[in-house]
Amino acid sequence: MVTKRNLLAAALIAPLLLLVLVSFIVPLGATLYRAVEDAEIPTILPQTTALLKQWDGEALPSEQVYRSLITELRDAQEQQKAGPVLNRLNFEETGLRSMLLQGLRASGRFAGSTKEGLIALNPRWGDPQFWGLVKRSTGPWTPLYFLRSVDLKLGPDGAVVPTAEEEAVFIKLFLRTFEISLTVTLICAVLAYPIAYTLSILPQVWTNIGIMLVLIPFWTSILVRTTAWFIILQREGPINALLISLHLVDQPVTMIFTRFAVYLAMVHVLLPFAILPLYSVMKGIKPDYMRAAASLGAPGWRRFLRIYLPLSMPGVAAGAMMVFMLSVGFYITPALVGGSGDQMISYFIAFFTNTSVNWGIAAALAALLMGMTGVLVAIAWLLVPGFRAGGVRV
Amino acid sequence: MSDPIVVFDQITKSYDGITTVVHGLDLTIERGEFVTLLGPSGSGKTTTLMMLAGFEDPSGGTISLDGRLLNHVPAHQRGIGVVFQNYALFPHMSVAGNLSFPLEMQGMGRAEREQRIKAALDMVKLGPLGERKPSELSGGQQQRVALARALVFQPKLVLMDEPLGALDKQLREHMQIEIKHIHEQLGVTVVYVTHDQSEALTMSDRVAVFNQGRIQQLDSPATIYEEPANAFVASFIGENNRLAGTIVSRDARYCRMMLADGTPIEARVAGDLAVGSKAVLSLRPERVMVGAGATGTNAFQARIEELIYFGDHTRLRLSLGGSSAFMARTSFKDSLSDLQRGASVPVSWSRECGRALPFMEQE
Repeated sequence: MVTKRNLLAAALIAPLLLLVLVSFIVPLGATLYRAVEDAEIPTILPQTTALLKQWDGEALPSEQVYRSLITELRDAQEQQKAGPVLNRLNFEETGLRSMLLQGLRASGRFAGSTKEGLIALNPRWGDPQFWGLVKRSTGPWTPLYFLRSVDLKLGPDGAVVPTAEEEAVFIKLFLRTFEISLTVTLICAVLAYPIAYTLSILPQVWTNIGIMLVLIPFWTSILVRTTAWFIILQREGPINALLISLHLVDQPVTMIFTRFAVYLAMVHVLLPFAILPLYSVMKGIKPDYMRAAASLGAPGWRRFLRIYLPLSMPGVAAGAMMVFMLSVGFYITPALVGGSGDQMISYFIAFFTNTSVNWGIAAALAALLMGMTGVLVAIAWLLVPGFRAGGVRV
Repeated sequence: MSDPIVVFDQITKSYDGITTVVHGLDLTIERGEFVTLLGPSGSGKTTTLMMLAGFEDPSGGTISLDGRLLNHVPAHQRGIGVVFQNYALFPHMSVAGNLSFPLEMQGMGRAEREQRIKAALDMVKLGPLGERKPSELSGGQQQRVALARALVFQPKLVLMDEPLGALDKQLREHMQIEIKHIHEQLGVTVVYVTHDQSEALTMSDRVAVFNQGRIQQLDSPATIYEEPANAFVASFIGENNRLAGTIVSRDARYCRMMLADGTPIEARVAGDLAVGSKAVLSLRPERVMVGAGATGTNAFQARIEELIYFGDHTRLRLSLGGSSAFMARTSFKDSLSDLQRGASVPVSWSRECGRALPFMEQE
C-alpha cells in the first residue's frame, strides 16, 4: 500500500522534477561549464591540436605544424567556422585575429615553405611565445574567462598578471552592480516598511484595496514601466514641464540617463517584492505583543525598537533578499534610463552573449555574479538575526 | 475597612457607536482583593479588563486607580501587570529577557535586575530555565513565565485574561491553586477574567458575574453559588434545575409556588417577587435527597429516566414537576441498590435550598 502511494506521489512530482531539471539545472550547469570549457580549437583545428600536444614548447614548431594550422583554418573559413577560433585566439592576445587573417590571405601565394612565408610576413609567426598561446588554447579547460572576469590574465609565461588598464573593467562593474543593488535594496526596505505596516493594521477592506494597488504594477511588463519612466524623465518630459511652469527651475533638470533615474525606476519596479513579504510577517505579529510591552512600561518608540522591529525582521530580510537578488540581475532598466556609467554587469553578460558572442566570458561573469551574490547573502544570513527566520516564531 | 484600589464609575463601552458592549458599569475593587469577572463570551468582561489595562478607551464614565483618574493615562504609565490569554511572551527573547524587559523600562541596574529575575523565576518554580526561549517551554511553563513577567516589576494590580484557558484540566487546577498562593503571598490585587465558573469559585474573594454588558451579581463565591440573584446567575454558575411556576403566597423569606403541572413547592423567595407573578424555581442537583430517607417540606415520588455514572457520584435524570430533565445528584450516603431506570423513587429537598427567582423572558 505504502509503496503504491509512494509511486503515485513520485509520478505526480515527476513532471515538475523533469521541468526543473530541463529548464533550470541543465542550462545552469551547461552555462557554468562554458565558463571553463576550451573547445573551439580542439574541435575546429583537431590536427593542429594533436601536433601541438607533441610540441616541446621551446623551439619553433616544424613546417608541418604551420601548414596544418593554415590548412585547417582555411577549411574552417570556407565552412564559415573560423570565427570562434579567431575570437578565441584574439581573446588570448588582442591583434592575433588580424595576424591570422593576414597569414591566411597570403598563404596561397607562398612559393616554398609555409613557415618561412609566414615569418617573412610577420616576425610574430616566428615567436615561440605565439605558439605557446595557441598551445594553451587547445583545451580542454581554461581559467582564462574567470581570470578576465576579475581583470586578470595569464602572462606569456603562464603567470597570472593584471590586465591592461583599458581592459580592466569588470571589477569596477561588479562593484557598481553591488552598489546599485544595495542602494535599491535599502531604499525599498525603508519605503516598504511603513507601507507594509499601514497595510497590516488597516481594516480588511482597505487592506485588500491597498494590496491591489501594490500589485497593479505587475499587470504591465517591466519594459513598459521602464519606458514610461524614460518618457516622464526626459528633458522635455512632463516633470520638467511642471517644474518650469511652476518656476521652480529655469532650465530643464537632467534626469534621464543618470543614476537617479536608475534608482527611481528600479525601486518602482522592485518595491512590491519588498512590501509583500513584510506585510505577511507583520500581519502575523499579534497585537498582544505590543499590548504586553505597553503593560510592562514601554513607551511607543521602545515598543517598536525592542519588540516590533525584531519580530518584523524576518519580513525585512525576506523582502530585502528578494529585491537584492532581482536587482543584481537587472539590465533593461539601467540600459534604458541610465547613462554609460550606470550599466550593470548583466548588461555586459547580455552583450557578450548576444552581440560579441563570447559565451565563455559571459558564462564566467554570470557564474561569478551568482557566486558573489551567494556569498553576500550568506554573510547577511550570518550577521542579520532576522535572516534566520526559523529562530523567531511569530 | 474599605480601601478601594480600582473604581469603575458608570463605565460604558461601544466599539461602533451602535452596539454597547458594557453598560454603565460600577465596580469597586478593594486593595489586595482577588476579584474575578465571570461570564460567557461577549458578556463584556474582557472589554472591562482591557479598559482597565489601558488597551481600550471607555466611551463614557471614569476609571480610577489608587485615586488617580486613568482615562487619559496611556497603558505604559499605568503600572498594571497583565497576563494574556496566549501569554504574549516575546518570542525573540529568552525567559530572562522577557522578565528583564519591564525592569529595563524602569531603568533598573543590571545587578538588581538579575536579583529580581531570579526571585521571580524561583517564585514560579522555573529557576534554571532563564536562558531558554519561550518556544522551548511547555504550555504550563510558558504560563508561569507570563505570570512571573507580570509580577516581576511589583505592580500594585495584576490583570489576568483567561490565563489558564490553554492548559489541560489537571494543569489548570494545579495552577489555580498556585496563583491563589502567589496572590496570598504577595498581597497584590488581582482582577481575573474567566468563563470557567469553577475557576472563579475556587480562586476569588469576590466574583462579578457578567452578562450582556452588565454585572448581574457581585458577591463572594459562596453567595453567588448558594444565593444567585437572578435566573442567569443561577443557570450560569453550577448545575441547576429550573422549574417554571407561579407564586401562590409568600412571606418575607419563603414562598409557595405552583409548578406548571400543579405540584406545590415551598422555597426561599427573592425580594421583589409579588404573589401571582411568574417565577422560576432554581435548585442545585446536589441538594436533592434521593431514596428512603427523603422526607421534608418538598417530598415527591419521581420516575427515574436515566442513571449517569460519574465515579465519585451518580446522577439521576428524573421526571418531576412537569419536567423530564430534573437532575439529582446522589452520593455514597444514599442507598443506590434499588435505583434503576423506570423505577419510582422518593425525592425531597429542604425549602432553604430552592430559590424562587424572577422569570426572565429569554428562558
